[in-house]
Amino acid sequence: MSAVPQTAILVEESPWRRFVSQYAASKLALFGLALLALVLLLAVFAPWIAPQNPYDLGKLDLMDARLPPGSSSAFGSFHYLLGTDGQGRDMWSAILYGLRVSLTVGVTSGVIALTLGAALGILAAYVGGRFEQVLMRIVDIQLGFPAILVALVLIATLGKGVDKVIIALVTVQWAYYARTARSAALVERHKEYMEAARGLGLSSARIVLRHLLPNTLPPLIVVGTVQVAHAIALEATLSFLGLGLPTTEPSLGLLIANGYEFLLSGKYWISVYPGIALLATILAINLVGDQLRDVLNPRLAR
Amino acid sequence: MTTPRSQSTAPAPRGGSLAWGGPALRSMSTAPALLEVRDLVTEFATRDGALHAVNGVSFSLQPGEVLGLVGESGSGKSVTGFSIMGLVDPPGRIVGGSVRFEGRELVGTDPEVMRKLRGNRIAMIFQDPMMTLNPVLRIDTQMIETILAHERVSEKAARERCIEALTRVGIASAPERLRQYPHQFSGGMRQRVAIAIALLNRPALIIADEPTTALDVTVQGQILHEMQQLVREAGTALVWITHDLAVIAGLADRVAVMYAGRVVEQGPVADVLDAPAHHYTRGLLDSVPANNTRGQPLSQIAGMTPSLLRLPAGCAFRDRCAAATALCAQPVELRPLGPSRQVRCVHPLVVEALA
Amino acid sequence: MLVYILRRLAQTLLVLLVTSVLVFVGIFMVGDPVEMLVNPQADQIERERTRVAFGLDKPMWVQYLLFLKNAAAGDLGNSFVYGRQALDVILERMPATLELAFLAMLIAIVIGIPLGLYAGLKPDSKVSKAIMAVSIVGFSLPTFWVGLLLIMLFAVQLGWLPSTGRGPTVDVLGLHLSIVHWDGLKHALLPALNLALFKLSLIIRLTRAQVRENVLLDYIKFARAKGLTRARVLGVHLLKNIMIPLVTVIGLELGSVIAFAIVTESIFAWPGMGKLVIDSIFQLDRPVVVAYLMITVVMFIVINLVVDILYSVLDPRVRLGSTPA
Repeated sequence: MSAVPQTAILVEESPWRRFVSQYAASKLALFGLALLALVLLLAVFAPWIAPQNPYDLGKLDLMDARLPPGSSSAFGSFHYLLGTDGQGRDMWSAILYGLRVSLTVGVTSGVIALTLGAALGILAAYVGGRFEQVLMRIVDIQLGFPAILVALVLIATLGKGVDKVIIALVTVQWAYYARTARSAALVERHKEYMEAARGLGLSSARIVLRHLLPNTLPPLIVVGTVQVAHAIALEATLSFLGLGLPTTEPSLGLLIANGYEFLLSGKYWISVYPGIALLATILAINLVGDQLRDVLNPRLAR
Repeated sequence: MTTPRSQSTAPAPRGGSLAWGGPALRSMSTAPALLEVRDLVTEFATRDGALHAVNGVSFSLQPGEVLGLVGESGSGKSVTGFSIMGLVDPPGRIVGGSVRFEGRELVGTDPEVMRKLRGNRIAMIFQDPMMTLNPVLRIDTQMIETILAHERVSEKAARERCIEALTRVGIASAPERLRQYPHQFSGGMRQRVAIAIALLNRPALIIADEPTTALDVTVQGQILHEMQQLVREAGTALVWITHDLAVIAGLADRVAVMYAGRVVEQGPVADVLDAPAHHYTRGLLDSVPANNTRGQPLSQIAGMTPSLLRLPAGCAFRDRCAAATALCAQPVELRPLGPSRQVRCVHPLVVEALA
Repeated sequence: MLVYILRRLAQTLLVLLVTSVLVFVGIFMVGDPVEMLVNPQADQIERERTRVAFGLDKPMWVQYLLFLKNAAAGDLGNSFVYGRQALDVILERMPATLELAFLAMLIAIVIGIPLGLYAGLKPDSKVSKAIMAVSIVGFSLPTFWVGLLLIMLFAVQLGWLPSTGRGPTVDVLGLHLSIVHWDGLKHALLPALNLALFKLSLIIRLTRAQVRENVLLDYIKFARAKGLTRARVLGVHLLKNIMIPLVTVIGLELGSVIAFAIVTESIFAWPGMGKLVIDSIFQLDRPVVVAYLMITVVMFIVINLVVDILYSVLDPRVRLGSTPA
């Protein structure tokens, strides 16, 4: 029994437009979307925007180390917007590149985990039987362990490096996607139109691709946003602990770690600004994901 | 008799202000009505505008009378029931009209006053027994709390009443059953429990919102029969909301047919079903499969229910009616038809001559 | 019910076994095992001796069985750094981590559930919107960064609370706890708050979502139709229903909090298991890492089991099964 008598409303509106207007109903969500767009743009165009290449050790001047925001370089020409770190690196540039790395790793692992997890989950729902049971047991067990622990063990075993971090992140995430995909696929599988499709003699592949998949996408997208945010946070945490990305690809977590030692002496900018960038990224993804979830949730239909 | 109106900034309800046909109603009985609904308007605020689910509904009910409220989904019948109970949740609210129960105005009254009436003098039975009872609370908890919410009795006495109530609705081994949980009952049993709960405080009025729709046909028949007996024994008035005319035929004294938020026909059951005055009622009767001849195509009402957001001016049934003329584009009021019937139609199938 | 518990116990054992295999393979097989077990400064003779002593010249499955046998007896190797049984070192530090985790969860629950209830019941009020905005920020803040900020603000700038270390301990029932008195509590407050922030936001959001979903359901409307007071409808009918998913999530999050203590303990130099394991990873003190893993795995499995049982106790549908008559 829904709050509004649904059956009498026949509004002609394309589903896309309806989705957009429902999404835009929340100012917070729009803000999140704008923030996300900003972060993505900064990350993608970092090499062109950043005034300095933080990887180029030749360009760094130790004399400029630990300068507060707004100061200029010792030889006058360079303006450090957000100050410099312990090695004279311009914080603004370092943050831009760090954003790039964090986002790349987070999104890549998310996409791989989604593909892998969703494929397994949908397959499990479609095939059923032993395979489904065993897979779901594995999923349940894996989800009973905290992500950070699993990631830690994997890194401790496999060693450091970008690929190892991505493997760890994928391992931590795939189970969520698998479980979501399977639940959604199960619901669809029992709907009448699936029987109709089978009755019409459509091939299994066609059924899965054209019918099952599009209907399992909404919950996967919702889970996806949360997971990507978590992946980015996890990678940052690992990097902060010194177990994540190597120093040749400084992610925001590493930047924050570098600034830890200077915190107590008042040089806050080395840790605080990268943190703000990290917060902005994760917050933006969460805001968007939240609204997506509300809009796509059939049980909250108003 | 003045028509009290609650404050509202909504546009004047459609259907005209004389919709309730004053003199004719009063002549129906000399006893004061138990329930009098007049020009009730309940509105839902949607993104696409205000939707009037109940659009000027009027009817009255005598003590002990059974009224059938018939209509399809979206006709506003359920919302009418909720409006009487004061259970319309945002984004819906009552914006006009009056509901008088035992002489007291309910619309706009203090929420605590309403609470004291609910479950006590007016009870409600819902459609889906699966969802109605709280799955994590025991049956006795859910029954005893209904008594204790309105009366100061000992728990023991309350439990006795519950056992008696369950037995009356046909549940065997009541004392053991009381200690069970809803999921341990079948659908029909659960609905019986809901009925028992409704009868616990001996209400004067029960509003039953499609209570048998979700049940098996055989169980339906049983429940109907039992309800009939129970309300007759207790002298309880009953508003039975349904889309099924067959149910009404055996159960109700009077029937009100609703369409697009308005009452389009009202009267004693036998009269309305034998000789419907409104074309919609005729259409409903005709489309009952039992009323069709074998081998002939099933008769249907042409067209579809209009969107409540875009109702045609005048008669809402106009676009689907074979007898519609230009006159039907004007607002149509509910007019008396004989001493005990009303119809909202300018070309009714039955004319005054019957009176 | 008994059958259910037995079945879960059997599954638990299976999971433990599988995990032990994984841990064994991961820690002892990758790379040269002798390197794992021996002090990196040891010479060739020492290495040979270790190889024989640990049976590393024997086939893999024999080694695994040896490992299991030792593990069952509580012997998971000696820590290089401490020169003692690795398991003992871990167990020594466990109360510190547990009291931190407990304090954090307490903060999260006591503040989170009421706020979530309010936000769910009055979703359009300004206060609710503020609560939700704060909770989504709290959910997005990286824990380690917040820890740094907390230290910066409360310890450095304001000087109200100590920035590192654990307060003096008091012996309570054989356990050395520090939070039972004010000095210890002062030390524990910042790290506990740090740990709690994320969970707090989670609980607020979860509670609110549950409330919003349930309030629309029929049984709530029916409860109101019976004329029950608002207090009873919300406090009994609603609460009992949302408690079930809430308790299960809180239970599972407890395990997560214990794991996340790794980060918080590192920042606040809190002498718990978490800090120990990080230090051990960097010091290549593998036996300690293995001991930590085994202990935490056992803990999580036990927590999962308890949560499962709790769930079946709270939800009569699971506990009694359906026997419609």
